[in-house]
Order: sequence, then structure tokens, then C-alpha cells
Amino acid sequence: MPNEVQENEAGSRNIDLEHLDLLVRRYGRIISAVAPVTAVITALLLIGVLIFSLGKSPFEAYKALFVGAFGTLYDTATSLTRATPLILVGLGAAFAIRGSVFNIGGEGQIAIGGLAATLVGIYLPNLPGYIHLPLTLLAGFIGGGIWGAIPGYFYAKRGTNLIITTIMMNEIALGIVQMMVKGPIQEPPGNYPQSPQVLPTAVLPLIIPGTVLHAGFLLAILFAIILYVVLFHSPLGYEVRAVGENAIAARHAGINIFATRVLLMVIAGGLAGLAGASEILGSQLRLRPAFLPNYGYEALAVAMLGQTNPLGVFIAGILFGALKAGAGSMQRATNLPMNLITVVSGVIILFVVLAKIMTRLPRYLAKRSAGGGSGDFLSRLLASKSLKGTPHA
Amino acid sequence: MLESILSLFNLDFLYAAVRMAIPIILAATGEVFLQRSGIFNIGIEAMMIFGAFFGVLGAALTGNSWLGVLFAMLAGSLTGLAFGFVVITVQGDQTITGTAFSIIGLGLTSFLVRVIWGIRKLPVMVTPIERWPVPVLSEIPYLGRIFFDQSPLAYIAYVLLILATIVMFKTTWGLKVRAVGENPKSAASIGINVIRVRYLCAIFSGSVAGIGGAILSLSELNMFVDNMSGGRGYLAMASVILGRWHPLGAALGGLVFGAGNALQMRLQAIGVPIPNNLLLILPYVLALLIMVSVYSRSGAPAALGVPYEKETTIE
Amino acid sequence: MKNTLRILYLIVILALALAACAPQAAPTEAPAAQQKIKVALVLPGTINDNGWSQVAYDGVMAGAKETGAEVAYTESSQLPDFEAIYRDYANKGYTLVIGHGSEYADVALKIGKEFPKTYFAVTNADVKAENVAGLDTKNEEAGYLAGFIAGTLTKTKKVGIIGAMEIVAMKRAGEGFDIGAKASCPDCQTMHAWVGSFDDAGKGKETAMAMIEQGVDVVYANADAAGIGIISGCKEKGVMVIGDTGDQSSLAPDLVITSMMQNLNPMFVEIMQEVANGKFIPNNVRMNGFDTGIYFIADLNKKLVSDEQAAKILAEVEKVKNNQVKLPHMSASAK
Repeated sequence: MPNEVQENEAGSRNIDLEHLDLLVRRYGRIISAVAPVTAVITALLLIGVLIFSLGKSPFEAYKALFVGAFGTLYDTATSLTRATPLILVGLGAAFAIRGSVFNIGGEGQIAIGGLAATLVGIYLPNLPGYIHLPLTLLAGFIGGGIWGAIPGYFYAKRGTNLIITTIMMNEIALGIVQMMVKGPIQEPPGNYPQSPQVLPTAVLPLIIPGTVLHAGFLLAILFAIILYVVLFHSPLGYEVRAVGENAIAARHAGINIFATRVLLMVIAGGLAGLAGASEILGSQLRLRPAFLPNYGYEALAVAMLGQTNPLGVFIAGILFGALKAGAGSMQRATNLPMNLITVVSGVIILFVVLAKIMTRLPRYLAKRSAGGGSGDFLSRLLASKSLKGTPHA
Repeated sequence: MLESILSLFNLDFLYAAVRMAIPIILAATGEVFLQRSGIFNIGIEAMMIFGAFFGVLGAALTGNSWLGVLFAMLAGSLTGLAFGFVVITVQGDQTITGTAFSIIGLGLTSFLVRVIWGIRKLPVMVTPIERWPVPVLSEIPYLGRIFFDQSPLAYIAYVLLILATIVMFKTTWGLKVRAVGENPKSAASIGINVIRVRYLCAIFSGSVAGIGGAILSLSELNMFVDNMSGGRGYLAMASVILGRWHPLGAALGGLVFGAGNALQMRLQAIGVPIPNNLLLILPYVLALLIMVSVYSRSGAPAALGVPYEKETTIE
Repeated sequence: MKNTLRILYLIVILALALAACAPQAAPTEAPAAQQKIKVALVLPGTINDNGWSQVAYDGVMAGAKETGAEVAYTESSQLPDFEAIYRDYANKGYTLVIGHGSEYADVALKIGKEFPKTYFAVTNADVKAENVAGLDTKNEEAGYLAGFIAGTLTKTKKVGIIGAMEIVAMKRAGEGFDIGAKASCPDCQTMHAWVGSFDDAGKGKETAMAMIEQGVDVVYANADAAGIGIISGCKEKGVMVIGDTGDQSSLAPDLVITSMMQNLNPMFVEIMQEVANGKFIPNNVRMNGFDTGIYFIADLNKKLVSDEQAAKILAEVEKVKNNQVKLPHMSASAK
């Protein structure tokens, strides 16, 4: 019987494969931690070559970048301030991705969150700060949440393509903000496209005096921890991950997929709205068009670089914030065209994606050394969770 | 006011709507194939802007704008190939990859303009590809003017659109593409090379999006301007979904955007009392309303956005 | 991987080959008797945007020649980074920081308070402080004359202005355009449209054609890089057009009547000299327009303008230059 033979063979290889399984699991963890770092370094090397080819020194350029980002306490604080919205939006995006919901509507949700916060921040006078400020932040969360809930509803209900609806919603949100700051909420006498400043009771306090770092950063820390706990240590987190892994199985397990998906969009949108609110209440103090340009898209990269793990997102957000803070000083030090700086962030994002090839490395190794063997076992092994770059899944 | 608004819907309006739709339709035609094969590409913007840039670069280097179009196609297909590598071979996330491509495309072309041509008062100009009325066909009342008094590249778009429809639904090749997008595993089991089909779709999609970009820089204008693709790549992707993954449907979707923009511009000109920011977002609102009112997931390729893992067969 | 590498390799080679062509800013010699100053320019766009930012870059470079100043610039600056950019320059000991647009008014006032020894200037804004100067420009004058010329030449009695986006400078030009067109042609109708982008030239072209279809026969293209498209749309329709920023007649030699030229050199040279010579005037808004030479018109196109019309137009230009035409000036200050 060929069956018997095969069983025998598989049996003899079993030890090997179990060992490999162990190796794969161990490497998978290490690699999913190393991969993003490698991605960033490779991207910077590549751009370094380009800078060199333009006759400038890459060392000078990167030194300026680093000094601009962390040279002084003030610079470090600036980096963290830039990171704050990226972390908040990135956290929401990462959480949603865990449930297989791709929110690329961050851009619009930031705008609407900022708008809502500005409205409450300006037009609710005579409140003590400890009531006004939370209300204003809440308005930002709700504004962004609604802007996320609309496409989320149609996606969950009818499968309407989320990417398209959110892109359209982005454009519409930006149009609404421009219209508002040139009309209804324009600052008197009314020629410059901006709202008045929010009332002092709605301003987020600075947490390091003499710098620009405001309490919004504490919100980012807080939500990173909350989402970490929710995602990995709560029934809701389990449901989200279940829907993300296999929606049909999740439905059979009695999870309400519709509700989960809408909720994910509300959370993702809400956090983006909160990011917009905290930027306005902590840094800019008034609403202007494009007050966080491209942050919605870059936050997606932050989510991926952080391996959609809330703590990873936090670190990735700080890295991107530092890049943003340092990029300007790099451009000023080297007179490189600003477009090149834009390319840098694009290339980093691309290499973060390419780094996936590293997380797949053990799989190839396993394949190669396993050679033959039971297909079933192997595919089970290869599909093992550690390979998806989600160490906690 | 109402009367003057109604008078806007004339022959010129339809003509403009088609004209503005054509770059979007071209890009969408390629995207239909790519999405039908199971890949979601939001990096069309990059393919278009590379097409626009390399079109002008090619025309400037060779002195022939048609060779420029060839450059644009090549640039587009190389972009498609690179995109394919990331999402097919590495199985990178398609949304993020597309976003990265768009960022790089817009940044890199602007950067190359500065490096190659330096700081100038006006962009480098090349010989434009002029509008060319098709003999006989352009004499047809109404339709002749709307469809056959356009840029020669528009006729390429028509031909490609018809060919795409035929290939997609009447040939084995189209069947393969659809099979790969619906269920790559069973497609592979009957001997279709999933990876190859997806790569070819990515390259095809890139090359036509490149022509779409070249229309902007070589036909609408005769120069490259930074960021001149202006978000048309996203509109192309939206058209594909509005058109439910049918080439003709996608073309119709492109027309919605063309018409939306044509209307918006005319409403501004006659001075309707609506803030211009609201008029400018009119095409997006239109698309969104159509999406949420008539759309259901039916028609979407089942494996859209899902990376394909080659089965490990043990010999 | 091979393919990606190949593409990247190609790009690098291309860049290498062309690096030699990249423009390098020439070092300038400082004339004696002046204090060596460091000037920073903060721009909303790129230094080759064929419009607003490029003109400022030229202006500051001209100022550097005059004063021997050391110049740095930041391109494509974004709202969330303004404060960091300003503080960085101030910390590094720059003597004068110029923000090119009214959006920099807030940050100039704020950082100006923290760095009283640094001077700040903001284009297009009527801000002023002990160490902050507004470099306001009378955009409405350019709009007025464009309207006047359009009104003089129109046959359909319909003229139009197309702007890029609704920013102060372009809104002012729009207001001036209306008044100018009425001045030369009281029964003329004026139309306004916005492209919605500074660089979507294709959309600019279509916006122009849409306007022309409503009967407009002279268009003022006031939209930076998107304006190039507007002129192209006018060419397609065979309609006269007025260019902006630089002499744009080469884009459509038979149809460009003239261009509303912008040369910010005098404005920037003046403020840089003030600072270099230690003669900065506090709490003062410097108003610039045709009178100070930052605006002028390019040669009138003889094929389109009769001698009589030319005389009428040039007389009006003189009047504007001598401040004999009173125009409302929209305030752009951010309080």
C-alpha cells in the first residue's frame, strides 16, 4: 500500500519538520522585528546613493536629518509633536487592518475631526477648561468617527468598495473644510481662509515648557496602550482578529461581522478625527485647509511599519515624525529639492512592504530543506501564524 | 438662472465631457484587466505621471511626439512591472504599495524635471499631437463632433476599449484573466500560470495608463508640469468599480467624471451662487452617490486584493 | 528583485549623468560697508513652479547680489512645519526670515516675539511689529489693468478671469479685474472661475474652454502653472488671453495680448538692504505695486492691439503707476 509507505516516510521526517517548525516560529518573531528596521536602513542607503550622485554628501544630509530630529530637547519635542497625529491615525488604521478593514480615509477624517473640534472650540464659550477641552476632543473623535462610519456602513452592509468611497470622502471633506473657512466660520474681517483661534479653555497644554510638545502626545500613548490591551486581551480584540483572519468562520462562530466592521471604521475614523483635533488644539489653534497634508496616507505606512501592533505603531509613528521633523533641516542643510524628500518617505514605505520578503524567508528555507514530505503538514506549517508577521496573533 | 443652467447641456458640454474622460478611460481600461486578475492598483497615478513625464522627455530627446508616446508606454509598463513585482512576487500589501508608488511617482518626476531641465521660466515645450478629425466619421451629426473630432490618442483609447471588451469576454485569454481573479487556486489546478497572467495584466495596465498620462502632456498640452496628473489615477480606479469591472462600464464611469467636471466648470463660469469649493467637489459627490446607491459587491472578482501563494507541490 | 534593481539602477545612472546640468547657486561677494546678513526664504511651492514661488526665489537671489547676503530657502513648506522651520532659522542666527505668502503671518508674529533680534518679513500681508514687516502687494492693480485691457479689446462684451485657488492674491486680482473691465467697457459682463489647483494644467485648459463657450472672448490667466493650460485652452479656441507672472507670449504668439509681469526683485532688495544697513523700519507695512516696479506689463501684441487702443491702455498703466486709480485693497492680516 502506498499509503503505508508514505506514512512511514512522513514519520521519519516528522522530527525534522517539528524542529523546523520551531525554528520557523523563532525566526519569524525575530525577523518580523528586524524586517522593518532593515527596510528603513535599505531605503536610506538607496536615497544616500541618489544624494551622492547629485554631488552632495549623504553623510552631511543624514547628519542634518538626525540633528534636525533629535539634536536638542526642542527638536526631539518637535519630532514627537509631528509623530502624535501619525500615531493616532496609525493606531486606528492598524486596529482596522487587524479586522481586514482598510481605512484610507484618514485624510478626510482628520479634516472633519479638526472641523468639529474647531466648531466646539470656538462656539462653546464660558465653560471651564476641564469640561470644554474634553468636549472639544470628543467632538473631534465623533466628527472623524461619523466620516468613517458612512463608508464603513456601506462597506459592511453591501460590500461597497471601501477604498474608493474613502478616497471620494477625502476629497469631499477637504472641499467642505475649504468652504467653511472661507464662509461660515471665517475669521473676521474675513479674507484669509482660516477660522478664528479656539478659546483658551479648549487648548491642549504643553507638556514640556519651552517646546511645542502638547498633551496630545499623552493621548497617543494612552490610546496605544488601550488598543494593545483591547486587541490582545479582550473579547472584542479576539472578535476583530477573528473577522480579519477568516470572516466566514467568524460568522459561523456567532460574531456579528456587520457590527464589527462598522465599529472598526468608527474607531479608525474617530482616532483620525482625534488626531486632527489634537493638532488644532495643541499646535495650530485654528482651522486652515490642508492642516495635516498627507498624514492620513502616511499613517497607513506607519501602521504597516509597526506590524499593525499598537506598540509597534507607536514606535513607527515616532520614526516617521522624526523623519518629518528632520527632513526640513536636511533640505535646508543640503539644498536638495524638496521633491526628493517626498520620494524618501515613499521609498521607505515601499521598502517596508518589500521587507515582507524577509518574513517569508524561513518559509523558503523550510521548503528547501524539507524537500519532500506530507503536503498537508507542510502547508499547515507554512500557514503558521508567525509567518504573517503578527507575533501576537 | 435655471434657463442658463439648462442651456449648458449642449454639444460643447458633451464634447468636453468625452475629452476629459479619455485619459481616465484609458487608465481604467488597463485597471479593469489588473483588477479582474485579482490585483488592486491604487498606484495608477504613478503610472500616469510617469507616462506624462517620459512622454515629454521622449519627445524632447527624439523630436518626435509619437516616439514620446512610445516612451510613455514603456515607462508605464516598467512601472507596472515594478508594481507587479512588489504585489505578486513579494505579495506586499496592495493598498500600501499603490500609495507608495503614487508618492514616489509624483515626487520623482518633479525631481527629475529639476535635475534634467533646471529652473526655467516656462517648461520645455515639444510639438503637440494635434487634434485630428476622422474623415467621414466626424461628419456624422452630433456624434461625429463628440467622438471623432478628438486627439488621435483618443481613437487609440476607443480601439483599446473595444479590443479589451472582446479579449475579456470572447477569448481564452480573457477567460484566464477572469479565472485567475475569481479563484487562483482552481485556475492553477487547470494549468493556468497565475503569476504570469497577473504580471502581464500589471504590465498592460501600466502601459495604457502611461498613454493616458501622455495624452495630458503631449496632446492636451505640449509640456510637462509637476503633478499634472491631478488625481486622475484615483478617478480611473473609481471608474472601474463604478463600471463593475466591465471595460465599457468603466468607460461610462470615466464619462461620469468627465461630465461632472465639465458641468462644474460651466456652472462656475456662469456664476451660479454656490461656493466654488462645493462645485469643485461635484464629480466626487456624484461618484459617491452612484457608488452607495446602485453598488453591490456582485461583479467584483472574488480574489481581488488577495495575494496568491503558489501551491507547494511535493514531487 | 532584479527588475526593481534594474529600474532603480537606471534612475541612478540618469541622475548621475544629469547631475552636471544641475544648477548651482554661485557664491556672491559682499560689498564693503554692509553688514554680512543671512537671509532665509520660506516658500509654499518649489523654486521652479513657474509662478509665485519662483518669482520670490529670483527676488531674493537678486537681493543677495546687491547685499552680499548668504541665502537659504525652504521649498514646499507645509502648515504643520511652519513653526519648526522658523525657529530653526532663528536659532541658526539668520538675520531676516521671509515668508512668501500671507499664511506665514501668524508664525512670523509668534516667532518674532521670541526672537526680537531677528527680522521677519511676510509677503502679501499687512502685518507689522517691532521686527516684523509686511511686504504687501497690490495684486488688484494687475487685475485692474488686465480687466481694463480685456474690456478694451472684447467684442462680445464678455471677459473672464481664471484663478488657481481662492487665495488672497488671486481674489484681489479678481476684484480688480471687475473694476478694470467696467472702467473700459461699462456694459461688459465679467466671469470668474477657479481651476482648484495650482498645477493641473489640463484642468486649467478645460476651465478656459468652458468659459469661452459661454461667450467670453478675452481671458486673464492668473493661475501659475495651471495658467499655462489656460493659455493653451484659449489657443485651442482662438481667443485672446492675458498672461501672468512672466512674459507668456511664446505660448501663443498670435493670441497673448500681453502679460501682467511680476518682478519682486525691488521689494526683496529693499527689505534686504534695510536689514543689511541696519535701517529696518519697525511697525511698517511696505506697499508695493506698479508704483514700486514689482508689476509692469509686457509689450502689447501689435497684431491684436491697434495704436489707438495701445495708447489708451498705456495711459491707464501710467495712471495706475502714479496711484491715480483708487482701488479697494483687501486686507489679508491675520489677527
